[in-house]
Amino acid sequence: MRTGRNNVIDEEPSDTQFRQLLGRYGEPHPPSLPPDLVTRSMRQIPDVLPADLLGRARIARAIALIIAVAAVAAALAGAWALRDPRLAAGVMAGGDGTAGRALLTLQLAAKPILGAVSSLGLALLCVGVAAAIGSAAIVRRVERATQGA
Amino acid sequence: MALIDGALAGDRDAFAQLMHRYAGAVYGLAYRMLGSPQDAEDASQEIFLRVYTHLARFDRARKFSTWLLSIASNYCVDRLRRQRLNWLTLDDVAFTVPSLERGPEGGAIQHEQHAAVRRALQALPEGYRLVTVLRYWHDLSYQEIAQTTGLTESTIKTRLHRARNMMAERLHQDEGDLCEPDATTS
Repeated sequence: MRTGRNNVIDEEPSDTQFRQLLGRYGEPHPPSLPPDLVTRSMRQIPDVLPADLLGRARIARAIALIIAVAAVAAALAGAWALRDPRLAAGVMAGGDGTAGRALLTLQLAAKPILGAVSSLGLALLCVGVAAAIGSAAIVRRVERATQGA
Repeated sequence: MALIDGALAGDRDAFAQLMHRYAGAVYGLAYRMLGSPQDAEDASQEIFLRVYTHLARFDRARKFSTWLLSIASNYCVDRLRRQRLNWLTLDDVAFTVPSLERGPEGGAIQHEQHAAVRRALQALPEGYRLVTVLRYWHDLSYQEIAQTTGLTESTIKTRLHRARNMMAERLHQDEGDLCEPDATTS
């Protein structure tokens, strides 16, 4: 390998030599196409406009993101309940006035939910983490499928 | 562009013509990356489906071939990574025994030569294999490879340099020739 100034690799001789090496092996040589590849591929193309298909893909990605966010929220709620079940109820404590009464109403309505969250703390945390990981994997796969597009 | 516009408008014949035009490039890339005609056929069909699905997102400032090959490249690399993560069952092992049938390369002597190159290519890590195939089988420039793969030109050159050395060494071993590495090594 020759190097030019500033240790920059001089690619051209190596590139040429490698092409010559491949040439000795009859490469590059295009493989023979299966004769009905396009026909079979066309059968898999749905009878829907590309724009509509793209819309469906976007909806699927949005749903996956919502599930991921909900799963993360559930995991955090589980962790929170594990730490101190009373904290959750304490945050909901209302004061005087309309806002306070509204908060108190919400607190009373949320009590059964908070109770369930407290009792299911660890389980909820585990389920939430697993769902978050799974959703992140789905989102990542969708992103990779559309990369370059 | 007329074919793309037709396909976007729902003209299936237009999309079929697009596929005919690029089927060789897509199948060739998939075959070189995945190493088997059957996998290449399955991959090509899936790639065309993805191309159709995302056709509305094609940026006309780019070359269509580069965009198409980027989708094909990403699919092939993802597929190789998934294959590495899959646990093999006994049935899978049975089906992965190399076939003695000829691949799509042609006659006897050429078949063995092409098989040697295929083995050397398959021995490369997937990231090296991809840039090698794009450079030497699809004749893309470094800039086009960068657009296709999202890698920097510096990374591409480094991978190509290493891939050339690895393939040259493997081909020489296959020949039973223990000559010194070529001038690409230092």
